[in-house]
Amino acid sequence: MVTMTKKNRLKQLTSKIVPNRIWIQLGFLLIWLDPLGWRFHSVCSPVFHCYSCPLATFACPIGVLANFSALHVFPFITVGMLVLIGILLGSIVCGWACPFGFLQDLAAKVPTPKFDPPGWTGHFRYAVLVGTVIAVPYLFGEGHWLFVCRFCPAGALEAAVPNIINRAIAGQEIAWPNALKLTILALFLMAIFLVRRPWCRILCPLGAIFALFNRTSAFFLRFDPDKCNSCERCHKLCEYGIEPEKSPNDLRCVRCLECTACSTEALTLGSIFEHREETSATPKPADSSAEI
Amino acid sequence: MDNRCQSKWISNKRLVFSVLLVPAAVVALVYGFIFHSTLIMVQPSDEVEEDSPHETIQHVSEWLDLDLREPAIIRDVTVGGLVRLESGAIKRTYSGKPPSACPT
Repeated sequence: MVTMTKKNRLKQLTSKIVPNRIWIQLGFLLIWLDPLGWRFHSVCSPVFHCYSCPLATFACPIGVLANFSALHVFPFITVGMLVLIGILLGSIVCGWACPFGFLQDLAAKVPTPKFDPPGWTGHFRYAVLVGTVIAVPYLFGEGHWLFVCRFCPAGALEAAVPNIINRAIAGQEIAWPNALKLTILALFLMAIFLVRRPWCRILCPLGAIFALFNRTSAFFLRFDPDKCNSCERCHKLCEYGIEPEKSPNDLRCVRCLECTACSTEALTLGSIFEHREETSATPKPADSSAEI
Repeated sequence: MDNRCQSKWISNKRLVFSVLLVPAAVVALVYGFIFHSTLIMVQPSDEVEEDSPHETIQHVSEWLDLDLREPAIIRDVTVGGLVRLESGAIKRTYSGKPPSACPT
């Protein structure tokens, strides 16, 4: 009974917060973009947000990983932080806290035709992570044109554009970003109206790191086949082309938890803490839930 | 393996990963924040009195090795303040006040 109450509590919490996800993302945005000018650039945030943005509160973990790789120094703080958050939450950060994801979610609300990239394009994220965040910086240093910060659209949008505007207003000479960065920014700005979260789904190296933990994180998406009536509503609820009943903790999932709105409650948010209580405090029910 | 066994096995797998990785991550964080440091070549600040210009030249030409802690290195890389030389040494690109924006 205790377990059922705990499970219901988590279920109730999910059903309450999922419809308000946009407000939670907005709340996090106020943490990452600090208008008061507080700067804690000695630590990383767990989200994709350029540290050169005039309002950035924390350092960008991807920028730090790439720069440390260029310096041939191991980034204990950044790796520790990413592993800690990844093993606890998986990619929940992507769906609920990342400002760059939030921007793409807002753009996706514009009623334009949307296209779904094939699932395999998600593997490009690992190429970006290994290639432009680790290998290129390590081998060629931060001056190489494939160094992630040199073409990052988040950096272009959040840092380069505001800095250009600031310098123009101040009457100073404008330092234009390189052509590659501007081209990728232009492509990105077009893509966000045609594809849902194109950066997150195809190229984001931070999302690639968190997604690695989806199958092992303490909080996860649980699928109960006994409750599923194969209505496939979850296919329509998932905006990222995943079939949640087949792969609830898919590498492409950003854990927006929209699929938990399933009326039969076959998909719910679960946690390892809940399972421990279940096995220790109650007799084992005939529960056939799976979280593949 | 039936669904229940599979579910239990997967939950146990998650628990094992958490038990192993959470302490490892905490150790990495503690080590990074408190103990980890790297030698950086630093140019002392060139803020010298106006009546001694020769002092300025002498100061600027000197490089010191500074044992910089990891949080300070993170702060420096966010402004493009560190560069690795071909010799393998890491050099701070500015002296005195750090630049306000990353050059990329």
